[in-house]
Amino acid sequence: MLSENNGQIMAFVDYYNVLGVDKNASAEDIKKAYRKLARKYHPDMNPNDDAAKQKFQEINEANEVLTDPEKRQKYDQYGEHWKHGEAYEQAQQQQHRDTSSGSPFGGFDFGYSGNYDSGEFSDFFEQMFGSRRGGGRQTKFRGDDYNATLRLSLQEAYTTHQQTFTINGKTIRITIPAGVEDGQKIRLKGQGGEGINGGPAGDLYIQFVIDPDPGFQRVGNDLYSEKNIDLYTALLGGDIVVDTLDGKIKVKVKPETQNGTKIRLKGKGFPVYKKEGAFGDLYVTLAVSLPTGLSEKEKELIKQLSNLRT
Amino acid sequence: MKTTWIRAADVCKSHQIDIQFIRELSANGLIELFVEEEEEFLEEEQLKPLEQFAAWHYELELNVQGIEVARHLLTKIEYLQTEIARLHQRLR
Repeated sequence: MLSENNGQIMAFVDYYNVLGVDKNASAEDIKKAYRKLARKYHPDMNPNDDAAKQKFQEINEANEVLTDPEKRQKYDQYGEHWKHGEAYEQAQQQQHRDTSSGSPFGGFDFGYSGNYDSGEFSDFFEQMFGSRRGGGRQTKFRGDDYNATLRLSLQEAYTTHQQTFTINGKTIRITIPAGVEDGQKIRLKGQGGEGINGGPAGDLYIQFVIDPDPGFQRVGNDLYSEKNIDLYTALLGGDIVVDTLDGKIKVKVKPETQNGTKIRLKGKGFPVYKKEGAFGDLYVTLAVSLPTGLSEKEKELIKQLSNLRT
Repeated sequence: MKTTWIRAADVCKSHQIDIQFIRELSANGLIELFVEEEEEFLEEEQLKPLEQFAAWHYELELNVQGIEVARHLLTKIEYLQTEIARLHQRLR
């Protein structure tokens, strides 16, 4: 049923129908019906379901009216005849007069609400009962939690930095501390969905996914890498340059270093999460590269070397 | 990472929750409650699920068994929604 009031078309809301109860339903019946429907359509029970959220708001609105004896009386008296705008207008004017002279509607709270967004109730409710200000018995519900994934390179995860991104139309800027782990989740309080009936907003959970790096493997706070060295450096020792996430460093190789030798570079690993100045270690596995394309002279010299060893 | 412990009694007071309800949740493995020197404590990260369970209990009149079932099904829904989103992504 649609009614016109001040040029606006508004739909009559059959609150009894919303709760699925009879017009003569007792307060206990209404409470039971509300609980049953609230369990079914509660946003917690219907994640990411806008239709359920909408339905839940309708149920709340119906409950708000039908569990308040004064609101219910008023609704029963005029609600059905909403289309008779003139009659309702008179009733409203009468009510204003009555309010100041202590009528049955005198105690009716036209002013609910504070932190309630009146836009969440129907126009019908707003016109009939006014916007809610002040207290109100309505249950507040926390908004939905949002989950997001943020991909980082190993290099990005190595340093504390800021990132800006947009979730559900909201731009969020966060500081990502150095040392975050793959799969780690952080919570941004109040950055999730809006609450219902003035309830608190949900939280935003961000899960970090750290892409594999071609040069380094991360295990906890330690890093592992591989470095090729030539045969002669392996045999005679020398200096090599090793890549770290912080730049290149010079490392001494001992004479007679075997293939697969692991060297530990203390403090050159990954930063420890939220522990400034603390770092894991870098383990470099040395892979000895054997020369190829030997000349005749090289072959002869290596044979001589070989003979010396046997 | 640093863990913050909160006295269960303080949570009960601030959230108007019956301690027995928290103990029941703990007995059913829905939250973790620790006892130290005869005092019950919760980890800070347990607060959020506790608040949610309390809302289900006091506002929707779910008992602890109902909460357990609801949580289990919601975990499944969440997994399936993620899976659907992933498959949608693959189809694009």
